[in-house]
Amino acid sequence: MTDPTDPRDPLFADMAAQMRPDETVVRALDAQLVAEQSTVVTLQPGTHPAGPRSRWSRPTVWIAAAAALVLAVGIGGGVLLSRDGGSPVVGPSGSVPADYHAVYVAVAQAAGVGPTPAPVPTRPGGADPTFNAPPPDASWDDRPVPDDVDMAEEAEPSAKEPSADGAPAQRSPSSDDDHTSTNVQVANIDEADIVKTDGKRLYVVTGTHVSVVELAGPKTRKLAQVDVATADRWLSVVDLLLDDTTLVVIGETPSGASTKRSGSDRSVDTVVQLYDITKPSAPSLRSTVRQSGEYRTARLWQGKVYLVSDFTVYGYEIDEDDPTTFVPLVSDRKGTKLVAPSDVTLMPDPADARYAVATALDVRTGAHTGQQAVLGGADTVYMSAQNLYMGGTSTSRSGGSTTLVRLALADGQMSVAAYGEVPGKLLNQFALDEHGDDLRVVTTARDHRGTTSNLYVLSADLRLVGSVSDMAPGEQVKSVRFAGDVGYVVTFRQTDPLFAINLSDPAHPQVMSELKIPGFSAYLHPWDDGHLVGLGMAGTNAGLSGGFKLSLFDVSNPYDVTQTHELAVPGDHCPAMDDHHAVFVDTKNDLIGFSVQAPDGLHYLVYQVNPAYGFTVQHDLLLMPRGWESGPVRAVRAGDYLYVSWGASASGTVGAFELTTGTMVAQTAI
Amino acid sequence: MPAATVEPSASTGLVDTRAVVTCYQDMVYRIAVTHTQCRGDADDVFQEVFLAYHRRQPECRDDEHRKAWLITTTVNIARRVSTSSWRTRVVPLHGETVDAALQPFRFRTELQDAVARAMSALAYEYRTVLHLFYFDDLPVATIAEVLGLTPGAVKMRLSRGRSLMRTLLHEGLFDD
Repeated sequence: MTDPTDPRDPLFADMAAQMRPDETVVRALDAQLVAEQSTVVTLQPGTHPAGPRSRWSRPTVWIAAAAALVLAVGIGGGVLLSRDGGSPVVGPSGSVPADYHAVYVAVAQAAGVGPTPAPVPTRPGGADPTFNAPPPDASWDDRPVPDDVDMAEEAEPSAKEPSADGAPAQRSPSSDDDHTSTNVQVANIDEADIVKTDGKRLYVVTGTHVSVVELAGPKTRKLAQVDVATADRWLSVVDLLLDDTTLVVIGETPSGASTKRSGSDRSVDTVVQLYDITKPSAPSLRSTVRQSGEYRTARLWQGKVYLVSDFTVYGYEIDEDDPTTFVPLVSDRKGTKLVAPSDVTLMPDPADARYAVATALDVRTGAHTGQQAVLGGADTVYMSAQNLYMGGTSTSRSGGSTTLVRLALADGQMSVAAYGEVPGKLLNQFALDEHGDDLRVVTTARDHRGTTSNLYVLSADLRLVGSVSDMAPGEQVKSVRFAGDVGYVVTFRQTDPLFAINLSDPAHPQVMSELKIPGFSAYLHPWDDGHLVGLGMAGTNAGLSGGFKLSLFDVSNPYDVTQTHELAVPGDHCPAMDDHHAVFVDTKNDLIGFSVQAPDGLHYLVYQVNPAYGFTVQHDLLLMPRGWESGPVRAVRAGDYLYVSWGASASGTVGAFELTTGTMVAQTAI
Repeated sequence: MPAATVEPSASTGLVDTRAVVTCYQDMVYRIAVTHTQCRGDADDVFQEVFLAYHRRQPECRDDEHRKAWLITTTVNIARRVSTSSWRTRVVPLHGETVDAALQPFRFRTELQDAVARAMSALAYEYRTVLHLFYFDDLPVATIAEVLGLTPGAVKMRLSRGRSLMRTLLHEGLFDD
């Protein structure tokens, strides 16, 4: 794999050469090492100090034993079955602060500054104020399920709403007005991406501006350009959403003079600009809104933009008397304001002083209809029609755990409805799925035994209803996809077990089948009722072979999942493996596509998917001979043409190709 | 630096660790500098990483594995130290001069200082990848292995990190 930025500027080598430890520091370390050595010898009377050093010498065993005990207590004190209402209710005690002073105490503690904090003054809020630690020998795995456990009613997704089970209502994306759209997790809930289309025009982000391209086959041409810099010189555009006649442009800009924070040169705000595109050749800026933090993700649902940003507070910036130094700011055309204490949730033991800032914005009025800030961050965000879930990292358990906050959405308002916690980490947004009132979660946890994969079913209160744990110990979760009553989990060490898990009884999820094949799938896509498409890395029984592959799985009988077809995919680099937006899906024509980087240049590959015949290469478009594209590549089909955009980070291009022949009929710079 | 191949179980722990320190001290220190606020923090991280190595004596298959362990441990410890580093520091009340160790790490030229400042404004997910790529000269495949990411994810972070650096710096250093 060649890299385009070699040779690197000598400045970096010069800087690297200066970053050396001082002699005094190295000598101090050596002295410490010698002192440690003596301590070890003292603790092992009778052991010859010069002998071979056993890994399990006494101090190490102590530490391992202490860690295991902490783990048992942690898990025992965590999420617990409580469907019968009689057993103690436990969970993380997320709290709503009474005032900014309470927020200050929590943030200062998370940032590691200030005096030893007194207990945070709070008022009971949210769903779960009590926290009772059970006796240390309790292990939540061993708790028997009470006989009178109620089973959740399976809610039938109504035809009008997007499938609450997270599976695409038809194969996603749906083809309205004969064009394809962004490949999203939940049908009809749009996710922001660098390319958006309404079938007639394509809107593409290029970092400093947004290009409007008229999609007209051979007459495809650039129509206009939205210069975001006119409104904000430092704005770097990241994502787009499209709602009827409004183009939503999302970007980041340094906080700069908008705050009084002394360290403001290091902090970033997320900005949303709303442009009127009634006349697409002349987009006009209607309003701008802003919130503290780096952009994380955004969704569009029923005329509201739900935006999440990640706001870090630095210890040395905190001024107890000035909430603007430790509370996020949100601004719209009504003005700039601090998030109110009643809209803040403090999660216990956050890994950093980091907030997830979630806002709801009405696209038509340009005003915020709701905002929430959660101290505990949101590394993963998943949205269904009713709720926005945010998964953050907590250090309350050794091995790490994920805190979950459920924000209920109603008419654009947001309110914290529940919090919960599960051991382990989430892979990505696909590891969360709402089905009826339940939330299904897949995590990879690390403990003294190694890594394990677990699936949890949580109630609306984010309490544990059922679980499957310890799937494939020693392996990592590589991909997850939920489809109604079945969840598919791919784990990997050397071979790829694809687990099909029966979720129809939330209290007793069961592994129905485990298919082991070499390599692994990084992305799973339900393709009609009986099939799953997987995109991943190829392998043999000896390990990964380094190439990519498409797999077709027959899941019509989840108790006997088989791989029916597999096709090697050429190339060295396939961004679609990590970014589901990079996957092009055209349900009308049974096509799937994505870009790959090969030694001879950048290709766009389009395959036809047929459950009987497998994958057939329809097109292999060489977009950049001998070129390298480190930025995202996207394709859209509108009418009988395939439009591909690439090169946005340098000199962007949109190409128009005949869908049947793959011939390029137009190309325009953007 | 000596290209020592360190044998984990044959020699005593101290000889083992000293060899590892000599071999990797600069690499660890560099990561500590770019992932913390100041020299004082970097010094603390430097000590903690090698003490952790010494205490845990991780069984490393080979030098590459050892290097990966050191890199990820340094990043993790640096993140923790930099958010808690002010816990025990005395903040001067009356404008006394602050201890030099509490100042950001200074470089030879203003441009280098600007690069360092810009880098310290990035989220760790971008900062670590940019550091390994630009200051350690690691190829994308190695960065991916060390951090447990796919090469695709590394490239996305490099690309996005470069874009953020460009915004902060408006210099040509990070152009593609």
